[in-house]
Amino acid sequence: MLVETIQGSFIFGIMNPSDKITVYSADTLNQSFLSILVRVFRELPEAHELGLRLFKRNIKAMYRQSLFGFAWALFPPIITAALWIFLRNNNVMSMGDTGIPYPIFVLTGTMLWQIFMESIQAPIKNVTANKTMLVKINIPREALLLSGMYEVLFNMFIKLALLAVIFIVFNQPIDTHILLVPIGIFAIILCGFAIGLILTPIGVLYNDINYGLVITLPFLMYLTPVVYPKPTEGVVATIMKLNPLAVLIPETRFWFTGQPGEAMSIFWAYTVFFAFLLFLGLVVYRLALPMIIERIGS
Amino acid sequence: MKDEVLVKVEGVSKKFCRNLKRSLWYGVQDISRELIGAHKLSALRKDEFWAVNEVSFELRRGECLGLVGHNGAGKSTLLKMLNGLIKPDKGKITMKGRIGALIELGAGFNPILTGRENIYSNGAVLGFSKKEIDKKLDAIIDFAEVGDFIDTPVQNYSSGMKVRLGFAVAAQLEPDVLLIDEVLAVGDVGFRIKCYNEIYRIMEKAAVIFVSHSMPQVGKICTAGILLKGGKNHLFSPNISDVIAAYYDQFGGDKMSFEGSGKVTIFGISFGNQDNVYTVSSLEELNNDYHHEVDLSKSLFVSVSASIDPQIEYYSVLFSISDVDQKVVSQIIPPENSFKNGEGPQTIHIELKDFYLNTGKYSLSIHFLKEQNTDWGETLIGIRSLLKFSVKRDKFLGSAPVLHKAQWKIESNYKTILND
Repeated sequence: MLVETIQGSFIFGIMNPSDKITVYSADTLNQSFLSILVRVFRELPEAHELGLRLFKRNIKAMYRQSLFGFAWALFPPIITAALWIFLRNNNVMSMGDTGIPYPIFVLTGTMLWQIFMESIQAPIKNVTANKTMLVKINIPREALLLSGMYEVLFNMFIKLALLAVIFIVFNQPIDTHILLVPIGIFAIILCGFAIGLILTPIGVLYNDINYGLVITLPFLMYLTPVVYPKPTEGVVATIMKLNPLAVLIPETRFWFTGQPGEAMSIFWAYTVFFAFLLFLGLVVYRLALPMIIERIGS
Repeated sequence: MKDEVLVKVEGVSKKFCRNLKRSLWYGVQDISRELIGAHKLSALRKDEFWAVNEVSFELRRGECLGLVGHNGAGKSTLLKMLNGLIKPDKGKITMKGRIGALIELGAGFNPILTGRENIYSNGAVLGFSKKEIDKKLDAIIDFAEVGDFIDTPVQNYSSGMKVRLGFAVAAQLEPDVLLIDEVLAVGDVGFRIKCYNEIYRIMEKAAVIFVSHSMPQVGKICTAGILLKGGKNHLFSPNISDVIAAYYDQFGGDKMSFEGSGKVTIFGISFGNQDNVYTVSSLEELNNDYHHEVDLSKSLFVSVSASIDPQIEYYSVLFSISDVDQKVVSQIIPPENSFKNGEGPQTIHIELKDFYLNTGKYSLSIHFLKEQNTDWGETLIGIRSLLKFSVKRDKFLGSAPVLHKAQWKIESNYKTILND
């Protein structure tokens, strides 16, 4: 979605820079939510330029100093999946019918979960990592969000490539539902990114948010049907009604493996909700960042 | 174009909080207020103070404003507001045109990546597009003088090379308003000169705000200045030398400092032109400002009375004159033959007939040295900044502290005219 908007708004923002008037004032400009949002999107091309550059820099630097390189994007989901395949094969855990071969089931699940994890952590991680730059240089601040987003997308493509190989190896059939998968992944990224973005202003000021995320996320994974199929009744089923990921992840996995989804309408409702949350997050980010910079000093 | 006001600062204030925990919590409160569109709190909360207080000024194209003051006077905070990093709590800043900042050189550098790759990251941080950098790449590499190192990871660069590369990228900015914060203190002399030339070039077309603790630098670059004190605009002057003088005055001038073995005690000094002599009979009586003005058209007399340890047989006396930067600009050296120590207190008189100092504030230092085999031995007593005085010429001539008199000869049409 972001990428589309970037290209769409290229028509804006062309003017002679030496006629530009910049005003910094103490007055709270009585701007509407919408006008701030429009401005954020209008300035995205500039942020994209820097965001892309920072993304390339991060990727290059990260892999140049690593022997395994891209494989690191795959290790966490593969290890989790392998563990669960092992546990299940030895009947340590019993779980319901997954409908498809368990390795496919659990690997798809952990990959999607990993995408969510990276999305929720990306905004805080990138803003924190560039703190020193933020307090010294006036950059389009959305660039940090975009570079985080590009990293998430980049890692996602590596994961999808591996999944494709696994699917071929296991001879897993797919059908036209696969066309819905991009939407499913988009919704998962949207969900993670929106929540992460809303938490960013406070998360940059207080480390508590980051500590909290590190502790809660693995726990949350087990309250989400990632390694087991979604239960239909019982306490766990009730809890899952409150967990948006308990819809987004299984639904996407169904589409992956050629099965129709179960909760299309709820899926869409969540997607729209998180889109609004993202917009809200962008506006909060725009307004809050000067104040954060002032508090985190140099 | 030349008179165009590019920067207008009106009553700008900013508060800061001394306590971190409280500061973070105020931050949360401020963000919440901003989000619901409430007005800013103008009162100070607990532990808060005004880091910048009601500062106003205007700056036109081609002008350079020096922003000086003690540590913590609010210079950097003001610069951050001008740079749009933080919002003022009161007042308004209006700027016209593209704003460039030389505040952090080499921002966005990653040590693992090569110089070439980092030029692109750093350029993007400064707002250049890839195309613009492609075009300027050769100029940047040329300017940075890093040679073959351009494809070496930046972590293998010397610190000077990193700075050169950073400046080379930043120098490509063509801003209308340029903010500079102390970045020029680094690099070797040759590169510093290059940087200055680059800044002068940018300055011609821009309004520049320059923050520095180095008064010679400020004096060299700036046309006008502001002295900040406790966040307030203590002095604004279109004449930078007033601001520099006021900056030094803030430190109460340079305090008198003593050195040497103490085998000499100075008790009386007189200083001045014949008709206007300033005399003290003890060092405590010396006042610590630059009130005493020297008239250059007349001889200057200095006398020093001292009691010298009888064991010292021969001694010498050296006078040094320093400018406000504490840099020695000229010295009055004793004659070849040293002085023989007599009985009782000695008084040394000198008369200076030609005095070539420029307009400015100076201090006089004195050193008594033991003389052995026509060599200067131990320092018997040395007093730096013993006496302060000022020199005023009718008009400001050049910028050097010492002005030489010369015999001038101008030749034209094969006819020689001698001009004294």
